[in-house]
Amino acid sequence: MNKVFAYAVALLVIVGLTIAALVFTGVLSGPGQKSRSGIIAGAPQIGGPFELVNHKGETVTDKDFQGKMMLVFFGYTFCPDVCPTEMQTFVQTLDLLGEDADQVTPVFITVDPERDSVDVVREFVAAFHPAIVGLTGTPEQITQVKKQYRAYGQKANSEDKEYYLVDHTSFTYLMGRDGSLSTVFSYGTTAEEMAKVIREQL
Amino acid sequence: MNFVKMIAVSALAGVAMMSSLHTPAFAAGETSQLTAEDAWARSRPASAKVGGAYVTLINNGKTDDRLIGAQSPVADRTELHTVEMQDGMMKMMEVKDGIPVPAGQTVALRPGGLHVMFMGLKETMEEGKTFPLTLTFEHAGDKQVTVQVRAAGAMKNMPHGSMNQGGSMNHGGSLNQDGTMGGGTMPHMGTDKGHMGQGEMQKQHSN
Repeated sequence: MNKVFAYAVALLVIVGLTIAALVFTGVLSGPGQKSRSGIIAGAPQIGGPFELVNHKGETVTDKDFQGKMMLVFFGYTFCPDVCPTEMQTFVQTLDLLGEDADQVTPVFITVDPERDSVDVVREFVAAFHPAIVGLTGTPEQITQVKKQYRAYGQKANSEDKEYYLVDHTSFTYLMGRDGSLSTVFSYGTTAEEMAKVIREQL
Repeated sequence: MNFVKMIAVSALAGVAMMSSLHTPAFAAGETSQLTAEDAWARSRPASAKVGGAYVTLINNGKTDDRLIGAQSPVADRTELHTVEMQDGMMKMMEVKDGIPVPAGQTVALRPGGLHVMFMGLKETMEEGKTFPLTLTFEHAGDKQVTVQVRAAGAMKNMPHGSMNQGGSMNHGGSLNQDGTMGGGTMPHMGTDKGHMGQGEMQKQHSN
């Protein structure tokens, strides 16, 4: 009888561990986890210190953005399709937030510092919304911020010196007022969804 | 990882089902077998060296066709590009084999997917401007369209923006047909009620 009991306990433990593993790896949603579509939960350590140059040519660090939420997208201005689409989502999100829009700083960080000079970035962000901050820097500074955000940006066809394409992370990061990661939005998340998540943290 | 596979397979099945719901929308009295409509582009800053354009291709004929090239006086080089998502990575790439436009189907080049890519812009793509674009098809030959330049963040060609016309504005079923976006690699990323991957091919089944 004891043996049966031991087997039963062992079985329960295995089942429990399996479920825990599934929840941990994100295959199943835990009970306390908000399972929103388009939002990745449980992302690893993302964010942290950076020093970059904004579209006005001023050197800025992560500290300059604290006190407000930050909506961060990595892209490059030579990208004529996806990046403007995401910038448009930022604009719509700001519009939906109305007066609360000043609680969040929308940020575009280039993954292509060689071509995206301060002037190029300024023209790019200005075409969308005056609130959007464009950030560039030295290749080393960009490498560092990509590392902090676990973001990726890699030339796809570097043999084409002038018109090379850059593969890049498609996520949009919502950072809290203290600079820590709040939410990661997958590409295609609507402005309505972003505004909703931001509102919850006002 | 079987669970992940299952999600991927069912997502693909859902996409396939949605696409089969589209009804063909043929323009009555159309003489040409293949037409290109609603060509538009997003405005780009004066310093921009590249730009993109979108167009809706309608094949009313009985022969499959293929968009194999494009040319425009506004750029040194004009290529056909697409965007693919791989493990949360955005990859833009040239469509070397062209864009298939099967018989009886409509293929919409739209933001977030297939687009005409201009490299080496010779003039500024300013909002309100128009410029010519020549599309070369394998069978139909050259078709010239006029591209309307719209706002930098425009998502569609506004003057033709009314819903349910030719199906090109159907947001409900605009998921990728080839499953490149929202595939099985990241199960908890969700497809957000079909908003993912705006653009890409939208096929209309006629048979």
